[in-house]
Amino acid sequence: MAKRNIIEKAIDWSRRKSPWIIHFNAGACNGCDIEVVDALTPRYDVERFGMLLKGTPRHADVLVCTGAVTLQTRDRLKRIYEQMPEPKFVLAVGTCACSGGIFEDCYCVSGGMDTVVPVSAYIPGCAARPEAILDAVVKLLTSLEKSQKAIDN
Amino acid sequence: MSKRVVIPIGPQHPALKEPGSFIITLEGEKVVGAQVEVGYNHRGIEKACESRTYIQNLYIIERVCGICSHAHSTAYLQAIEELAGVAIPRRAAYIRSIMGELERLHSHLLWLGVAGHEIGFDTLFMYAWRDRELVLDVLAMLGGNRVNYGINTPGGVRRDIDPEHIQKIRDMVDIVEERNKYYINLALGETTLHARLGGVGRLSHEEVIKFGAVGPVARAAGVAFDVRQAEPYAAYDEAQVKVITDDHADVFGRTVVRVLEIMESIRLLRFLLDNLPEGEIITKMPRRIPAGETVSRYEAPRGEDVHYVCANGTDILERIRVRAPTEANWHGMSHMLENDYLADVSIIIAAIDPCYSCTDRSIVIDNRDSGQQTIFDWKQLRQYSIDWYRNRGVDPAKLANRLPRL
Amino acid sequence: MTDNVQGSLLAKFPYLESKIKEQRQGRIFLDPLQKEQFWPVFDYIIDELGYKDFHMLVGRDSGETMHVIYLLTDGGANMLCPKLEVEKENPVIRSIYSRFSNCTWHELELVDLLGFVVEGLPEGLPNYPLPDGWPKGSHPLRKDWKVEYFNKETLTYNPPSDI
Repeated sequence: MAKRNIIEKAIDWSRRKSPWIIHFNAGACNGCDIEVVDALTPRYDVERFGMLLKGTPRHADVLVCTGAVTLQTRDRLKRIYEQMPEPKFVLAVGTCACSGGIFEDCYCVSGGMDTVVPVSAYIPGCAARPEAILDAVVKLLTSLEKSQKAIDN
Repeated sequence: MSKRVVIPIGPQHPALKEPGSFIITLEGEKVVGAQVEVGYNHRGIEKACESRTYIQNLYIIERVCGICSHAHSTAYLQAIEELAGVAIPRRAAYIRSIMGELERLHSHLLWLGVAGHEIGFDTLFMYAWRDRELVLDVLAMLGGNRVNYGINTPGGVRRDIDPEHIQKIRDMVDIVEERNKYYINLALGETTLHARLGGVGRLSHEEVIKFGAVGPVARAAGVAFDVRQAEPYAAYDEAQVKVITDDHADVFGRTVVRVLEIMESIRLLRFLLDNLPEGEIITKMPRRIPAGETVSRYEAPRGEDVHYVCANGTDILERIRVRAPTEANWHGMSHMLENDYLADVSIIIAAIDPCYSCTDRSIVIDNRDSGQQTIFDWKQLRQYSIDWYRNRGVDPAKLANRLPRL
Repeated sequence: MTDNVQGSLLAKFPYLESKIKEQRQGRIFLDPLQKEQFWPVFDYIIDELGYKDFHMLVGRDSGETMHVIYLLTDGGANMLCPKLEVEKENPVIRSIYSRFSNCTWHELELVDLLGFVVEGLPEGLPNYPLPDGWPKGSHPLRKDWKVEYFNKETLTYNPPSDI
């Protein structure tokens, strides 16, 4: 990350405070998908952090992906990642997204997400709990803030 | 002037499904033709099961679907226990049934929330999912995990239920019952919901049978079939299930069936808890299952789940094939969409309760006249539906004041 | 109830002698039959015995042969499963689409995963469930197909030459 001007800093700040998320199921059993959506509901309420679930990659900052990546969804995952503007972050939610999980040696499974796209944070669990998902997002944002401060100073 | 609307549906089904598409032909705003196109999220589970032991397979089968994992796990074990000639202890049968009904509660509440969201009634979504959290807390208390509870093991269950757990289940069920009364009032009493959902996504009694639809979709058309009643498994020989049906044969009917099934599950849970027998929770199972084949059926929240298992006398199975309920319901989909409006498409699809995650997809609209292609995402389709109905005076979001402040 | 089924079948099709296996109440499996013997039994089960509901089918690799098991019920608890057998060298079967329009994906799986040839499916159906680019002639549910010989990057199947 390079030193930024004031406008870029403002955009970056608002992005850090309100990341827009795209959720993609790369081949999951839906367990983790439900926990991602659960994060929106009153008990966990991710929207209080300004996080919004977006439908298209072009407006998203964070790709939240579940499932062991299958051979069919592999290319689509790559395309979604490529369509996201920089800076972008990728969360692998659930054991399957981290490594392929118990499906890793199945013939139609490519493996974890990092066989296809670079991953910023791995959230294990089967399914990953909403608290773990929130925790990862907050950690990601914090580390982003820290590294940007380091560059600015 | 007709537009071809292609609606890709996201990976949401068990046993293998991935972004599938619908090709929808519109005349004006009405759907005049719909065809399900299939592209699937196939993982290769059946093959994987052929190189793992029976107990290893349990963990894969449980993860065929994260919403009804107990259904798949129980169906699988029922098949191998039958082939092994093993009868599980009665207490284990009761515990499996208790988990099964808890799963039905969480699944139906999940659906209620998703359906609410699809029609713009987000208050219902929030309330239903908040109630659902109470069920998940109980599931986690009993099994150790909110999702994929892992209570089952060959020969019975891994964990027992103690009196403290029982009290917590009762307390939760009391609360959910109170809340569900409001959902039933909404479903049965609110003209707005009836206006929004009535007559939408019709699938008649004859069509249900022809297309092989299962679960609440079938029961909403008066087809009174429920595996728990037709061939009772686990504790359902004693905890007799009242099969809930409706005659509307549309999305409204599917809503009615599900909210009433929540009540029936609550009644069954109370029965199961009141009559929980003492005793062991597990029986010894052989590692090698004698050669043979059978089919196990289970009433998952979405409908009949079918597992075929063939054993060959070793500790590795010969063949397994799973047909999860949503697979059965897709076949009637084209039919359900015909003669309804584009504005109804999203709720019709949601109303068969496909395993979630169908809402991240994009829609390509082919306008035959102009030759133009536009990309529509699911959220836009949903918003289109909400606006379309609002412009005609049907606004489910206004029902928010019918729900109590909780 | 089940006795009636066995009795009726044997009366009509004496060649089913010793080929009817009752796993338990409500679960009857027939041994695999070649097509000339299979189709009359299949039709009889549906039209005369009332097993009108199709739930799923299962493709099996049984070595020299392959077979398909059809799971039919009477709308209730009773399931009757006839089986159609073919030579692996010529695994051609007739679709049941004219009877059960909800058989499509099941039969497409037979094609992709086991290498059956299914005649009579509607035109224009895509392959299912394997991804585009899957090597032709490579059927993962066959017993001799091993995931270790499959390259997921290049989508090629390379068994060792001594097999």
